[in-house]
Amino acid sequence: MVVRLAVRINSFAYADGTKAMGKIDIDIGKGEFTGILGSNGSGKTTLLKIMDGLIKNFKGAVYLDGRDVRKLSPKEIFRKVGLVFQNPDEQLFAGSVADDVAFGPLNMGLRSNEVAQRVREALDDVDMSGCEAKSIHNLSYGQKKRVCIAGLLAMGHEMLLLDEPTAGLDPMGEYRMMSLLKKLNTEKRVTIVMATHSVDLVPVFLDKLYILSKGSIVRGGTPEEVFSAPEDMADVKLRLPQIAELIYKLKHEDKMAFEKIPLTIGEARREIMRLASGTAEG
Amino acid sequence: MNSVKKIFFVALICCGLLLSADAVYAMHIAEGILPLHWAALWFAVAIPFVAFGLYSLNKRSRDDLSFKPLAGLMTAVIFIISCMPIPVPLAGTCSHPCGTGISGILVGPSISVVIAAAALLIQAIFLAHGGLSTLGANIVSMGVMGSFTGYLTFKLLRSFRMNIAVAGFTAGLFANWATYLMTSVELASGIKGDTTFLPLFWKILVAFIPTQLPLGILEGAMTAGMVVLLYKKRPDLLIKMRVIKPTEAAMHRQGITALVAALCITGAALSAAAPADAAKWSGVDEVVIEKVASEHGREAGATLIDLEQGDIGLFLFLIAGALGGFAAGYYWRSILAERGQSLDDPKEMRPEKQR
Amino acid sequence: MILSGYIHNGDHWLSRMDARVKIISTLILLAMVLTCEGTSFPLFLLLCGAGLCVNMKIRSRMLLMRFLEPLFIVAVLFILKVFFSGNVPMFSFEFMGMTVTGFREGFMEGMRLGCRITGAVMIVAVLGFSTPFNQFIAGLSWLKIPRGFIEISLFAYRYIFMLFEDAMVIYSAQKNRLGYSTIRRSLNSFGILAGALVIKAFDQSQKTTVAMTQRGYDGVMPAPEHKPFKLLEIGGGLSVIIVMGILWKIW
Repeated sequence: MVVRLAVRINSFAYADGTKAMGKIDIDIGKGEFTGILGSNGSGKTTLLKIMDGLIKNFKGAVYLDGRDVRKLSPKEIFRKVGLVFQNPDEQLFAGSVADDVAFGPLNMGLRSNEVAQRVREALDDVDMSGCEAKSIHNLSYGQKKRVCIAGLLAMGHEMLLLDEPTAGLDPMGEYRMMSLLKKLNTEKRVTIVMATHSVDLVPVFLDKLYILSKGSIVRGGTPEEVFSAPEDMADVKLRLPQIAELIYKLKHEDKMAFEKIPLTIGEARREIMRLASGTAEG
Repeated sequence: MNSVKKIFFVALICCGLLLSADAVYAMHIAEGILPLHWAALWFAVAIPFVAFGLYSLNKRSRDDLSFKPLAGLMTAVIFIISCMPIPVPLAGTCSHPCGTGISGILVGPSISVVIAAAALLIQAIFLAHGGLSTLGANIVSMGVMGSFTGYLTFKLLRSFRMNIAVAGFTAGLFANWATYLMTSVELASGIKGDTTFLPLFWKILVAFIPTQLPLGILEGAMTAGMVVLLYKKRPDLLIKMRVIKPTEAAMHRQGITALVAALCITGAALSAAAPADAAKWSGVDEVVIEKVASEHGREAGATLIDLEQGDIGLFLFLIAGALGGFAAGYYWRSILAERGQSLDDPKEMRPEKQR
Repeated sequence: MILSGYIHNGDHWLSRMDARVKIISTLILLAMVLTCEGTSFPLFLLLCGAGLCVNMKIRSRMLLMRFLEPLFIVAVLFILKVFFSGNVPMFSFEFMGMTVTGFREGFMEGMRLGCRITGAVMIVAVLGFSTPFNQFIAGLSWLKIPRGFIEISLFAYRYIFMLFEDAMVIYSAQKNRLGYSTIRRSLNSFGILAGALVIKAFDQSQKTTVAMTQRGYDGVMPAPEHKPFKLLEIGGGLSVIIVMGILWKIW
């Protein structure tokens, strides 16, 4: 695995002395879809800002493609990695969709026809084709979030950091957003790191997962490895995916013979069908 | 019809119109009012101010990348404030503040002119407040006069350690009235035709008194409320915008107290050392009380402390002057002191204790 | 508060026209109206503009709201002119014990002023209803308006809507807690509202700067792109100017 981002943080505290980050030691591989899961106030946003080079006065180091981000200029960092804020209104500043998405490529010094092509492709990637002339204030919340992503894709970013991309979206909107990110990850090979506390969606889409609590990583691995016991999740003010909680209770309290704890509805359906066919034969 | 009746008639008609109108707007000169040559003249007056404002803006943006977005956002704030309907008590209707006094205090007068110009352009295109041909005139009245008057009034009063609420109120009040005065000049000169300037100017001035006089007071109150809120909740913002110095927050209360004390002592001493001529005009003490007392066998005695004897009055004056001078001199050093240290921790700047 | 950007009709032929042609035509027509001595030319422009607005499907209430303030100004100035300007009496009446006289010269001057104002307002209204603001600003940048002014205007336009929504939320919250029950409380509440907006503006500017910096912003926004002129649009604009110029001369 080629490591794109190596995060080795020892500690970080804000100017008023509030400790925000403890020990963090994680590697983000090229093409991975990684989640940072944590409750409110666990330090997810702070971690993303450190990874993006927006916060530099921490103890430790962050390496982007083997180079220390503190030694890189903002332009060198922002050509490779971009952060999508939780609130899209903080990130969209132009009058129209096309103007906003074109902002990055224009600053890169590209010619107007290349800029136009990148804008078209980026909007196509986020399913916003045909919305070039729309005013930003006329977009829905979900559409604004997608335009934020398009703005970074148009710059050719190979890595995206997203701060709670599904926050504020309805259930279908959440699913559409996660599907979009998965599509970017699998088809365009964009490395994605997203901060979230949406435990139900995580196992469906993510390859790797880290649990963040009080500024430190407490667990890491695949979703199956991380979501092994509900009591571990309660300690960090999270819970298992709902389907996993149900099957866990059926297995441990009602003594039903589930072989493993499924994390998605699809897996749970297969397990239940297996149990049902086994019971019928028996 | 004599001039007093004329003025009364005009005021009555205007009140009637105001009561029947849905809303009365701030002092924008509407599209088409000014003839072409006057419109061009006011553009010529406005352009140097806008140019200097842009120069200041670019200079500040080189040091602080966030300043242009801040100026743009302040334009949006001024736009919204100048569209907010405020009930005007005497007129019985609503009006809108200018807002340029506020922007003058926050970002400085030269950049405030640019902000006002941008806000006026958007208002002209989308809301028909003001116009394209009258943009120059509106920039001069609201942008230049409003911003500079608001800023200079605020700075002058703060230099005398005036309470920030009073300084904000006076700045907002004077900014509004200065705008209204300049608009009257522009209107009168533009529409006078063959008549003379002054009579028409006074008529226009009187015509807008019912709304603009109370509106100025309302805008002053709004400006005061705004600066007080920022002073209490976000003094770091005021320091970053160079509205107050880091040391000003702590010093102002002590300074005003000392100044008032010095004035009181000086005033008391001066009145005690009043010239003997004042005794020529006998008060009720002599005319009534002493006469009645004398009739009943009780004569007035000598005063216990007779300031007309010797140099007692002079001595008291010297003491008052020394005390007042000492107090003023002790706190005036802070005026002449170097610009205060920058404080990174905003908590240290809060003038009140944290609860 | 209504911003016509919300109701801009993008399908109309006038909306599709190049903003630069519209801006230059507007400025020339405004100059004609301001230098016009009669009432016919501005009234003709008023009618043409009203017709275009109807054709663009602009609601009559929207149009009326645009004219509310100018009509008020016209009324005040008309009264000042009629009763205080001129020598030849036209009419007079008794009012509260006073003899009020209207003068012919003042009446004519008031009419000219009123027509000039309403005609000019209509010209700018047509420009506002048919041109999105970002296109208007792009047109201004082509006319060599300084870049700093263009940038501030674009930022302002983007955030007016956002801050307006925030202002309405704060206003509603204050109103629900009797913040506007008396004059004194209203003033206090307005002051807090203004202060809250300034704080939001300041914080938003910091976040916007971070967002722009990570997309390559170095203090200067990229210049808006200008597409080549279409001969048909230039021809159309010129024709309108020439025809109006002839009418201006005649009337």
